[in-house]
Amino acid sequence: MHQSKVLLEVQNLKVNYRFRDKKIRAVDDVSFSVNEGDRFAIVGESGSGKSTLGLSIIRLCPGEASGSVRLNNIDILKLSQEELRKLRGSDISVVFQDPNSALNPVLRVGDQLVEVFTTHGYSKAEAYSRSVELLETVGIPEPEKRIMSYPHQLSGGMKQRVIIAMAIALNPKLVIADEPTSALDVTIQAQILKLIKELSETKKLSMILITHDIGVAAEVCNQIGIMYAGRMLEIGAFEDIFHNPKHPYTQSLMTCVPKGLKCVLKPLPGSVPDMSDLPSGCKFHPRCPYANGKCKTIEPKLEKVDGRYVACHAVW
Amino acid sequence: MIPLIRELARSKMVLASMLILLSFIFMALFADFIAPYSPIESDLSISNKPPSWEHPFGTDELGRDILSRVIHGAKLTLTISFAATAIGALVGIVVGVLSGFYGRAVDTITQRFTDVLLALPGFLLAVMFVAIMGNNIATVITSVALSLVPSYVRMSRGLTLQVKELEYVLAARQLGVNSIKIMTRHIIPNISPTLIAQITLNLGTAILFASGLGFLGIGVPPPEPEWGTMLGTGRTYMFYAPHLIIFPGLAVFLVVFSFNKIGDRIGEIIASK
Amino acid sequence: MNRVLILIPTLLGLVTFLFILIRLIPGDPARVLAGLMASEEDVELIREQLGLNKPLYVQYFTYMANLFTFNLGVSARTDSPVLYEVMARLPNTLALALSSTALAVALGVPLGVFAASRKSSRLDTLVSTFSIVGISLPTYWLGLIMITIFAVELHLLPAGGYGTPAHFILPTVTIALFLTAFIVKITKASVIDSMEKEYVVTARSKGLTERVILYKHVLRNALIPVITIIGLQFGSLLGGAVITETIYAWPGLGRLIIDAINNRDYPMVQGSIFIFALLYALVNLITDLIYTIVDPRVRLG
Repeated sequence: MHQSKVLLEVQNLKVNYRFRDKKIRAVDDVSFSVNEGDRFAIVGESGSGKSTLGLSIIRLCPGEASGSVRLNNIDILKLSQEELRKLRGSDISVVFQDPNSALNPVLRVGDQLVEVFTTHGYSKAEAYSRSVELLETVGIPEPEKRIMSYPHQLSGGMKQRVIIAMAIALNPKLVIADEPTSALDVTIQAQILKLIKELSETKKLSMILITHDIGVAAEVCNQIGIMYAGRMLEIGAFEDIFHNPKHPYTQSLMTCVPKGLKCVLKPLPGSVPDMSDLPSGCKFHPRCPYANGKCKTIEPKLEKVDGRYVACHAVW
Repeated sequence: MIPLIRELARSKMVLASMLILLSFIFMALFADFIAPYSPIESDLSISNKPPSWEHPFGTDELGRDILSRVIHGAKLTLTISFAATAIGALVGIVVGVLSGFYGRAVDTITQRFTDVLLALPGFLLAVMFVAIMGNNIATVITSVALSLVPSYVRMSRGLTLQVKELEYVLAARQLGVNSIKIMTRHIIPNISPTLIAQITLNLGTAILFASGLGFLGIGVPPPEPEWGTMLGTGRTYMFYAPHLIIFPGLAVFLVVFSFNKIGDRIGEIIASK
Repeated sequence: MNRVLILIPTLLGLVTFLFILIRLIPGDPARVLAGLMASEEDVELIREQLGLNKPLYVQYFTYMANLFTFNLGVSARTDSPVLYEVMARLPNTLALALSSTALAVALGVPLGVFAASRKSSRLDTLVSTFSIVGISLPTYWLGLIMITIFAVELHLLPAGGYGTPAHFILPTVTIALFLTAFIVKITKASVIDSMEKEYVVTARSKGLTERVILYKHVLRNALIPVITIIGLQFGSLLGGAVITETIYAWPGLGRLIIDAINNRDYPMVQGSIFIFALLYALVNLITDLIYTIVDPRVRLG
């Protein structure tokens, strides 16, 4: 295993926002790092704060963020608006979840692709020819024709390819993919995942993939972070965690009951907590089969156990 | 009802509007007791006098006290407003719902008729009707009502079409429930909120139309103290008696504003449900 | 295209409706024109001239045939061709309508965008109140007051009539106020709605400047409903032209219609309302067309 350089380092990231007079700690003291070449999955149920986490890396989320997010040692949270703007799209980019709403309906697809280039200094002519190439790279047939289309003239899968094209246009160092396949049909999902994986290999992109679906993470990723109620519960290499999950929550996610050809997750009792009214101590304790007194009062910190990081009192 | 009023009263402006309306309603009901003078007795010796202690709003070209005329005019204006809106809305909604519900031939015919009526802007339509029927209170009410009908037909038809396809309505129809029952039990309650907001706004429009007709001389005729008519006749003398055109117009503005403010707020409340 | 086709039966329906309606207006036009002193023969003569003694269905067919050739007849009052009189005044009404719309858009859209970009509840209330005031103010009252202030007291502007650019100012402002209030409200709501859309986040993630995001992404979308509303209001504006033209003695189509009605001038009433309806329909059509140009989702395919 060669030594990989650390690309992104997130330390003690907290994102709070106000919702109807209540303070919501969407991301609560999260730390992790992504190396060059990693494909890091952030997995969690809806409401776990994973999307907020992903988007706050480039400050696209509402709310106050504190802590540090370093890309090649530059703290993104401390950049000026103009520096941040330059970073977006060219060093870090985003693939969004819903292709139907992520594209502007009144602008041509080509227009939306070209502007990624032109806003970062390229000439229109160059932007155009590169855009046509990009459409081809992401597997859109007849790119010179399609580039003139409007979003509503394309299928869901094609729209998502366009969004991916926009994200890889300037060969960013890091691509954040926020549930890139959740809004697509199952057959298309597989195609898109395959595309994402190929692209990250050929273009040597590092990626953060946010998803609620372990299967998706398994397809693409080599690192994984399990998120719950704004906190990371377990972080490490995908293989390790998949075959040997240590945190009770992770265990329940990884355990599934074979039902015919599919593997269905065994549901845990209870449900994800309301973010404005979190339990004390370990946020998972109300649903945890191993919870003890300590779990109810003291929030566990991430400790290195068995080659990965786990935040749990009951793991020893 | 009561919780709605409480919710409305939350905003200061809406509260003020409700109070304004209540004062005008009060004026309308008790005009005979509040007004200091008769609204129709004229005294040419004091014609066109500016505001004074005896006549706070001044007198008009026939020496009548403007304040008293404005107070009595409230009864006229509010009557026209409520009557015209009620008739227009009722006719329009019934036609619209029936048209949307039954569809086919009924719908097509209604639509063509509505198109014809909509070929002219609302006010002009009212002008036309008044021209045919002559101008008195009854015809003004009818004309304004008729000019409001087409938009109610359109609106309630559109809403009915939407509601018609809702699952439980489809279910009811499948089960063979009586059509009238479906319309009253399912469709009307669903489309009511939007329509109510529209009706409140139309209360103001009705006044603007009616007083507009009065201003042009084809509305409620003198000596009735209709505010628009007062402005229309006052216009002749406005260059040297400007007070003639201030107060009746102010009255129209206050009432219409209040209706619009309240209607707007009702619309907001309904939209947030 | 099929919008245009539906137009034809609608207009036919309207003119038939008009025909019937006008015949219902009380008063014998022949007598009115001949005057109270006229003898029966004179009245009969006038009746001949206007063709009012022919059976109803003959009148109807003549009427329809004439309409197709745009022969709107001759004013029963002045003997001048209806079409001529209408065309002489139509541009005036249009000019006023266009200038007020232009003013309202020039003021209203920037104000609406501005209000949308500042998230202050005080400003919100102010804008909302201003909008409601704008639509509640009776045009005739506003007009009269403005004349009193600017023409009578301050002697700055003419009180009415037509001729110089100065004559345009008061009528335009009077009409524009109402429309501006409307436009500010709609623009603000639309811009706020657009700014919260997903594609704005996408745009930001690509590193676009806020300026580009506003003009290229937000406004392009936000202004679509605004355009529709302006189109609809333009029609209403034409309807209210009657009042404005009366106040300012503006030689326009609205005044022509009112005068014709009061004078029982059948041909003039028919002709002018027909042209008016045509104009109104044209405005609606143009609005629809603009809408298809501006919103690619609506275009076929």
